[in-house]
Amino acid sequence: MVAAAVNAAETRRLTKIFAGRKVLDGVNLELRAGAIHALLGANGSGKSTTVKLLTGVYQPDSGSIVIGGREVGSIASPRAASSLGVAVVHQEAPFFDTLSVAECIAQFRGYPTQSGRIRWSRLNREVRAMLERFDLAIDPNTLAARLSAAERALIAIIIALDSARSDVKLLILDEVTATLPRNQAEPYLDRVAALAESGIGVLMVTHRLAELHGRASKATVLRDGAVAYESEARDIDETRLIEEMVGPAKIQTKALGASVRTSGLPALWRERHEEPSGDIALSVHGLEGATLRNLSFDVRRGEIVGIAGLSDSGVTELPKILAGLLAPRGGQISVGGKPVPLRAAPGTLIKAGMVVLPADRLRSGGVPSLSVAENVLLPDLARFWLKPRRESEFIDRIIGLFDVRPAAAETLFGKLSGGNQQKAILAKWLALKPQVLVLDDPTSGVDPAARQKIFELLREAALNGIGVLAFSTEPEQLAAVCSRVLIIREGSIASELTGDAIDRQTISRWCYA
Amino acid sequence: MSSEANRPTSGPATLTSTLAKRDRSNVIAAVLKRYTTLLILIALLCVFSFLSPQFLTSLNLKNLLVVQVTVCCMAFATILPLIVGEFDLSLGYTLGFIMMLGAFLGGLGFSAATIIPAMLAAGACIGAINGLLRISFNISSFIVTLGVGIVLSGVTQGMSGGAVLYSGIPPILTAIGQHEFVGFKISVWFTIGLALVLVFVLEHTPFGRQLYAIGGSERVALLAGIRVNLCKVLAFAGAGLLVSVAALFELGQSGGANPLFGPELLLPAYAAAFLGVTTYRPGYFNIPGAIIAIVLLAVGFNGLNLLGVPYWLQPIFNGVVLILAVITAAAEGRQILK
Repeated sequence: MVAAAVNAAETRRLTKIFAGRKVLDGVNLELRAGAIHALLGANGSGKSTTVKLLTGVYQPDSGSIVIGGREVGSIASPRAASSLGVAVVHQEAPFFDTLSVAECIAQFRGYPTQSGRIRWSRLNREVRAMLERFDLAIDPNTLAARLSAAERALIAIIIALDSARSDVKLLILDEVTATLPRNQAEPYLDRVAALAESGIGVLMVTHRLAELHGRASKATVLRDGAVAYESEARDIDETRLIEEMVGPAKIQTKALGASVRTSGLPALWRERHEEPSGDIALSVHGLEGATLRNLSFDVRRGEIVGIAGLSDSGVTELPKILAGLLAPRGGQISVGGKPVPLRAAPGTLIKAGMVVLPADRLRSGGVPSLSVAENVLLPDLARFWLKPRRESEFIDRIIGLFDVRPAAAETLFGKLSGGNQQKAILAKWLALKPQVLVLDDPTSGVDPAARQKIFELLREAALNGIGVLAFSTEPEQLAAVCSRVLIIREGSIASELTGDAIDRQTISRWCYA
Repeated sequence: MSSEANRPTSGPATLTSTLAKRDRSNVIAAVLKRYTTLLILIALLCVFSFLSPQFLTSLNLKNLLVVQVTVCCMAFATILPLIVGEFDLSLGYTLGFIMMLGAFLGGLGFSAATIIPAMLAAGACIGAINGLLRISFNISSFIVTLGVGIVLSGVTQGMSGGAVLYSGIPPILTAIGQHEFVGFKISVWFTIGLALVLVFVLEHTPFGRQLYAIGGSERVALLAGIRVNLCKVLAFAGAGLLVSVAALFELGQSGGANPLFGPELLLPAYAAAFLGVTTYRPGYFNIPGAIIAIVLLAVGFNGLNLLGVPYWLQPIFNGVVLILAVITAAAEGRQILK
C-alpha cells in the first residue's frame, strides 16, 4: 500500500465565479491523510465555497479536485461526493429533537426490518455498537433533545461517516465548533484528532484559532478567494494568522457629516412637547445575562457606537435584551436618563424611545405579506388613522427619503430586495423619532449601494441627536461608520477603540485575541 | 429580409398599440383576479333565472338570503382568529350552547332584556377563555378550542335534559327573523350592518391592521410593540360574540334549541371564509369575500334545487366550488393559505 504517501484530497487551481466575480481564484490545497488541516478566513473569503466545491454542491469553473490520489476534476453532486468518500458535517447537526438517538441515526442509514416490521432490538444493538466505537456512553433510546452540544456534534460525525457511500477519505467539519461551549469543544476535538490518526484526512473550517494548537498539522488562510498564507503545525502563530485573515489596511472613508443633509428626518417626526434632556441616550449598567457579565457602557446623543465580538461573546444576546425579547438577569438599562423595567415588553421599550433593527431580517424585520406602507407604519398605526391622504403623503416622502425601490407604497415587503427591505425597516424605526437606534448586523445580505444609503441615514440620524448603537459581524462596516467601537469578550467590554484606532485589523485582532 | 426592413417603421406603432392592449388586459386581469367569485355568482344568477321561472321571484330571493344569516355570522366568527393565524374549532359547539342557554333561560321565565345580554356575554366569555388558554399555556388553538367545544357540548346536553327546548323564546327574536324592513328581513339588515362594522374595524382601524400584521408575522408584530397576546384574546372573544349573534338569529328562526345542533355549521363557515380569500382582497381573510362566497353557494344550491336536482348534490357542489376557486387563485400565483 502506498496510502501513506497519498493525500486524502487535493485541489488544483480551483476557481469559481459568481455573477462575474471570482469568489475563488486558483486555490491549491493539499489535505494529508491522517491529519487535521485547518481552513481559516474572514467572512466572504471563500471558505464555504471551497467546502461546497469539495462536497459537490457547486462545480468549479476551472481547476480540478483530486480525491484519494485519483483526479476527479469536478464533483457533480453531493451524492457523487459521498460515493468518492467525502463526508461533511455542517454547523446545524441533523437531528430530530422528538426522536431517540437510534431513530435519528436510522433516518439516515435505514431501519433494520423483518417482513416489514422494524426490529427495534437490532437497531438499538447496532446503534450502541456505533456509539461505543466512539467511546460514547449514550443510551440509544435517549431523546435527541436531551443530548449536550458536544454529543450532538459527535453523533453528527458518526452519521456523516456512516452514511458515506464508500470508505471515507476526507471528513469536512464546517464551523462545527462555533456552537460548542469551550469546555465541550476540547474533548470533542480530541476525538476528532483520534479519528484523523486512524487515517482519514480532516478539513476543519473554523475561526477559533485557539483550537488549532497541538491538533492541526497545517493551517491555510484564505483571503479574497485566494490562499493568503499556509503554515505547518510548528509555526502556527495566532498573530500572524489574524494579520493574514484581515489583510492589508484598506483606505477608510469616514467623511463624517461632510455630504449629509440634515433636513429630511425631522420632517417625518410627530411634534413632541417634551424635548429630551441630558446628554446620554442609552446607559447600560452592570447587565447580567446568559452570556453577559457585568456589562456597562453609555451611548451619547449624536454618537454612532459600534459593538464587535465573536458569536459567543454576548453580541447575539445584547440586541435581543435591548429589543425586549430576552430579560436580563440583573443590571440597569436607562433610555434618555430614565430607567426601563428589566422585563419590559418590546412595546414598552419603543415607547421609552429605544428601537432595534433585528439581525434576522426575513423573520423579524418586516411582515412579508403586507405592503411597504403598512410595514413602515406598523409600530404607530394610530398616527394616520382616518387620514388616508396625509398617510399617503407621508409614505411617499419616506420612500423618497429612504430611497426604497420600487418607489411604490403598495409593493409587498416580501418582494423587495434585501437592501430595500433593510431601508424600509430603518424607515419604520426612524419615523418614530427614537432616542436610541440599535442595529443588529444591518449590512448583512445588503448590496453595496444600499449599504452606502444606510450609512448615510445613520449619520443623519446621529446629527439629529439620536444615539446609534451598531452591532456587526463585519468589522470593516463598523470601521466605516462608527466614532467609537466597543469590543465584547466573554460577556463584558474588553476594549474601547476610538479615533484612528478604529480599523478593520484592530477590531478583528481584539475580537479573535 | 423584408420583415427586417419593415421593423423600423412599424416598430413604434406596434409598440404603442401593444402597450395600450397590455394596459387594458391588465385592468381586465386585475378585475378577474379580485372578483372571479363575484363573476361566477353573476353567471349563476343569469343561468338560473333563464332556466327556472321561480328563481328570480322576490320571495325566493328573500328566503334565500334569510336562511344564510346564521352561517354568515358564523363565517365572520371564523375570520377573526384566522386573521391572527389561529383556528377556532369550538365555534359550532358554542353556537349550540348559546342557543340552548337562551332557550333554557326562556324556559325559566326570564325576559328578552336578560336573555339577549346573557347570550352575548356568554359567547364573548367562551371566546376569551379560548384565547386565554391559547396564550397562557402556549398550546395549539386547534387543541384548546376542540377541548372547550367538547366540554360545551356536554353542558348543552345537560341543560336540555335531552329534549328540544322551545318554550319561552323571547318574541323579539322570532320577530327579527320573520318581520321585514324595506324589502328584507330584519336579520338580513342586522347582518349587513355587522358586516359594515367589521369591515371598518378590520380595514380602517389600527386594531384591525394589527390583527393582519400578527397573522403575517407574529414576531415582527411583537417587535413593533404590538400587544400580540391581548390582540389574540380579543380576536377569540370577538369570534365568540359573533357566534352569539348567530345564535340569536337561529333561535328566532327555528323557535327552539336542539341539543345536537351547532357543529354542522362549523365547516360551511370555514369553507366560506377560505373561499372568501379569493375575492375582494385576494390573499387575505376578509368579510366581503366571505359574504360573496356564502351568497354564491346559496344561489347555487337554490337554483339546483329549483331545477329538481337531488338534495345530496349540495355538499358536492359546495366542496367542488371551494377547491376549484382556491386552485384557480393559487394558479394565478397569489399566496393563499400557504
